[in-house]
Amino acid sequence: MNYELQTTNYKLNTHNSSVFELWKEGERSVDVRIEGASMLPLIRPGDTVSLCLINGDELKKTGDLIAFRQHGGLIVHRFIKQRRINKSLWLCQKGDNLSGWSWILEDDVLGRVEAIRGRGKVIYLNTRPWTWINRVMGISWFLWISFVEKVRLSKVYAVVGRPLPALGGLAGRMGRALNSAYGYIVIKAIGGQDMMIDERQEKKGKAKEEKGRNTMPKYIPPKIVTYTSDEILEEIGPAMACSPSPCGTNP
Amino acid sequence: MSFFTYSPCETGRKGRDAHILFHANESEWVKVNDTGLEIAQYLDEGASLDEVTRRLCAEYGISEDAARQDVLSVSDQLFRQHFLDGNARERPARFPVLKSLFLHLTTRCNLSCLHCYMAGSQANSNRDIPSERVFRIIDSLADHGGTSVTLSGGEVLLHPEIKKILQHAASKVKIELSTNGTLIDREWAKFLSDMDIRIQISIDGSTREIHDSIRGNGAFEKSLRAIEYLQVAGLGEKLILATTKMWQNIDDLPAIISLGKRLGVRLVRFMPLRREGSAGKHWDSVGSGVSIADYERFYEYTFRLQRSGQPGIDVNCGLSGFLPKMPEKYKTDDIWCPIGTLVVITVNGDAYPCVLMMKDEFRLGNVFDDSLDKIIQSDAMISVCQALAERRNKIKKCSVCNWRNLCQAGCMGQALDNKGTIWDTDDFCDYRSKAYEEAFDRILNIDD
Ligand code: SF4
Ligand code: SF4
Repeated sequence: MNYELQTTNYKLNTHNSSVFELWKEGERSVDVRIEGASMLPLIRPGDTVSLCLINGDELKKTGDLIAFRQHGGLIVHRFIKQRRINKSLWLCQKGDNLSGWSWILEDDVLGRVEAIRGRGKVIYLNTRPWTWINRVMGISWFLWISFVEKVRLSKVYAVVGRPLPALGGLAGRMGRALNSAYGYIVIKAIGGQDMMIDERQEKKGKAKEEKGRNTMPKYIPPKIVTYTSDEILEEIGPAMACSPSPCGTNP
Repeated sequence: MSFFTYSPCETGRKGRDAHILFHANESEWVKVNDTGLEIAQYLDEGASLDEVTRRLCAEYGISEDAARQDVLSVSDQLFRQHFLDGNARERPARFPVLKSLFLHLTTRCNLSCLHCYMAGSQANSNRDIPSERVFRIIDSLADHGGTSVTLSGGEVLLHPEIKKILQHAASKVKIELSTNGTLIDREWAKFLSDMDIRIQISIDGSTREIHDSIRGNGAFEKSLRAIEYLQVAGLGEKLILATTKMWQNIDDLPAIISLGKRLGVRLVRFMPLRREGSAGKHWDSVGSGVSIADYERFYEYTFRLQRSGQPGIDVNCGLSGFLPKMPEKYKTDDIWCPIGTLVVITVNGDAYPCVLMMKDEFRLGNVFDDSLDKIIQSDAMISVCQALAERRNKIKKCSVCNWRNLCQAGCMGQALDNKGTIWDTDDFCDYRSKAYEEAFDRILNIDD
């Protein structure tokens, strides 16, 4: 089966690998700055999400926001449904603002989003209206995806084939548009709590931001360095590929 | 995401203005400073050069020209190193192409070493691959564009028609001969010196006591004499000493390096002890008693030796997967393990992808029944190549490891030996990981 693979939208800017480290060390919660736009309008670029780090199997109700690894980056999208193929569990995930969706391995899931902070507001996803909103969003996408999958598997699609991708694209865009409209209304109507009440927000961070605004940071021109094998050899020693007989010897 | 970063703040050491950007799925990496990282991130998000320029201007209040210049130079260099190629995807599996063969020509042997991985598995029967068959296999290797063959045994020089085989092979491909050396006399040395050949002689101790306690009385003297003959015949540059690390010699290994230096050989290679064949039976005397820490101590020693710049000899300590910079020769498909390019053949003709993987589940076919073509393209080979590409992402530990595209999850044969599955790391992952960290901390601290 062919599913569209979407491009990566959400990433931790600097220290993504440190999230993985924390995760390995059994840390349970971590904040991550989001930079992409694929979860608009719920998560805006620049927002921070609090991840509760979990194992894949601890999940997950349709509509939960999950963070997972893909191509070395971290992505936050919505969990839609799951399917077991052989021994592995595959999860279907989708960005609200994307027309496609894709399947990921359960092993790649790192955490679930508990809260979204940004522009002075915080949304706790495990509180009453939001659990319901997420469920509704999730189920809507679920229905939508199941429908498209059905169509793609159907005889009609096999026969007509060609014109449908265009239609699919159109439908995808319509879905996104509806999502935006719906999302904006809901978020406007319900919104989040003011950041003030949020004890977890560090005042320090804010103070820093304000300071930053007064004095521009000093510009240090970028530097980018590559080393030759010889330089590395000098610094570190020779590369060690393998010693057992076939590899050590043959070119 | 086309890269991930390693920064000094992650290591908890002093915050230097330097980061390593690792390519998401290639072995490439570059070192950047804060501004370089910032620009790289903007670009990676898909921002256009103009946008990045504008952002820099706004953020630092610098002139647009200066900003544009800098953005251009960063994007240019990143691009050259394959970063920013947009859709960084899973790497494709290696396409198997036959380059070399590893032939176990005979089960005969004049020694019965404690640690042999072959003996016992074939019940000491005196079996050989008939020479016409060997000729055919080697011809077919050459026809496939293969360039080298490793001849091993048992003791390969005991094959009744070994001279014919060597002559035939030498006319077609490069030869590596692995022998215990005890049978090499002047005449043999002269014979061997006429061909394009590399000779690997097993030495398991720097003194008679140690070596003979493993290989039997008199072996040490005979092997050393063989090396002398070969030196006289002018083969010095082509000689390799091979040592299996085990309980008997674990403290003697540095002395073996010195011995190699004294004997004027090109390389000393240290191989892992395997719980197979005779070693499996004698595990109590050769294997248990050596801990992972013992091996690590030895790795540490060879690292220091090599860094000191004057080992005076090439040493391969036997740790796999430590390549802070991918050597040119592996750049073709960016994988250092040669699996998929070689076929290992036993006396029965059974073919396997690697000497460390001579198990039924990895059997590729039989050279007596199947063509090399069929063997190299077999499903088993293709799935092993697939595993080669996927291990670093499928093994949980590796998939979150900074070094995964360099280490590539280590040698899978070794993992199979250590853990009984290729879907795990070998015993030295932790050590290697530390070694990488040290190496990259050092690199972060180079003043350019
Ligand atoms: S976890 Fe260990 S074996 Fe895996 S890539 Fe990292 S260092 Fe290599
Ligand atoms: S699995 Fe290990 S021993 Fe086998 S070919 Fe690869 S690196 Fe060499």
